[in-house]
Amino acid sequence: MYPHERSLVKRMQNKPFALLGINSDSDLDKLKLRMKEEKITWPSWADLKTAGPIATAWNVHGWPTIFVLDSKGVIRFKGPRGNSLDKAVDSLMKEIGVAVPPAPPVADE
Amino acid sequence: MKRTMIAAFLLLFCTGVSPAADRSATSSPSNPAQAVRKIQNEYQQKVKEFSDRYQAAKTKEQQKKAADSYPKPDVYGKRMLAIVKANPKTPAARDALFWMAENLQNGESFEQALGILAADFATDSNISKILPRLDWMPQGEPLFRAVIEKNGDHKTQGIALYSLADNLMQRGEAVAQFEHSKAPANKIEQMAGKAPDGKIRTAADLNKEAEQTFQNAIDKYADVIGARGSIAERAKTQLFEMHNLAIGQPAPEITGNSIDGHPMKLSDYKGKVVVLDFWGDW
Repeated sequence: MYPHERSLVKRMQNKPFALLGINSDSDLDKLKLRMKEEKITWPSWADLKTAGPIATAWNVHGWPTIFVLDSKGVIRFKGPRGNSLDKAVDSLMKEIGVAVPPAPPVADE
Repeated sequence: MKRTMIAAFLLLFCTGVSPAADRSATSSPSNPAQAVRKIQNEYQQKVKEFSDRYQAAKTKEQQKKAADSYPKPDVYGKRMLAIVKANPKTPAARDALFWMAENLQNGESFEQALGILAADFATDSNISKILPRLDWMPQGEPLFRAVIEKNGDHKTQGIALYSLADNLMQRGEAVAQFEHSKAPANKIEQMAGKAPDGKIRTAADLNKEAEQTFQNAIDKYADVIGARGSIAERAKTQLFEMHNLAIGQPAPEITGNSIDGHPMKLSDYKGKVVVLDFWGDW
């Protein structure tokens, strides 16, 4: 996931876009080191465990789980990965008239 | 479809555990219960060989080669089915069919197995054990319905009703994605199935049926505790997801602290396209 997420964030640089994580790790010190190693620059909520309050409220039982929201905050896609995630984001950018660079092909993970 | 992916992953690395075959059977090699056990063991042995080879693989190529050695479930399914057909309605047939329901994903022998289970074993006292595994599969629906209708056990009926609701909901999600991506009609039909009036169901039809079925499970089977907890509690969680976390619904607010300890709010990102990624570094 990380390489594709990094490239998505880079591709959407300076566009009305945000990748927000909800992280379920409990050891935040270890996690911060790993994020440095993996160059994870986007923000995440610290949900601290798989049964954390955010994952529970969102009925998430599998990781990773992805939701894509449009600019109005409406849930538009659930679970897209790889190419499908790129397509989902691109279609919502198109809806608000924002041109984005084309996505490089990636395998559906 | 997230549960689907996990289920498929688990399927690849674990073999299902079937109920023990009748161990008091005689040792005649033509004994069907023994023949079923023999196929089970053979399959398990092959899966173990695959797993050892996969773990020992050092290069991508070796990994691919190991993956190719994974035993083809349908080959074993066909052998099981032959035993079922020669010994209908026997404990050996039941064990063979249970094994197929737990280990196969698709293919003709899988479809036939579910059909025979619905016709001959809907009243079996252990049938509820194999239902959750079929959660997203369209082929599961007739079996769930047969169990709800024919099995006299209250708990088994409750689990079957919950499984049916979950099945309809997950298929609704899948069909919604198909509709969005303009998938071919036969692909949609295969996943959605038909309504009683013969029309192919839409995602909205499936969702509506799922909601009614969850509500039915809450109303009639509130006392049933399944392998994964109270049926009513789980049905309520699923209904909440359908009402508040469905495609087209405004995302619920998220508040909390970031990993760096700063307060963070989802509503601060209004006006932007947002990818929410539930993740863990494990």
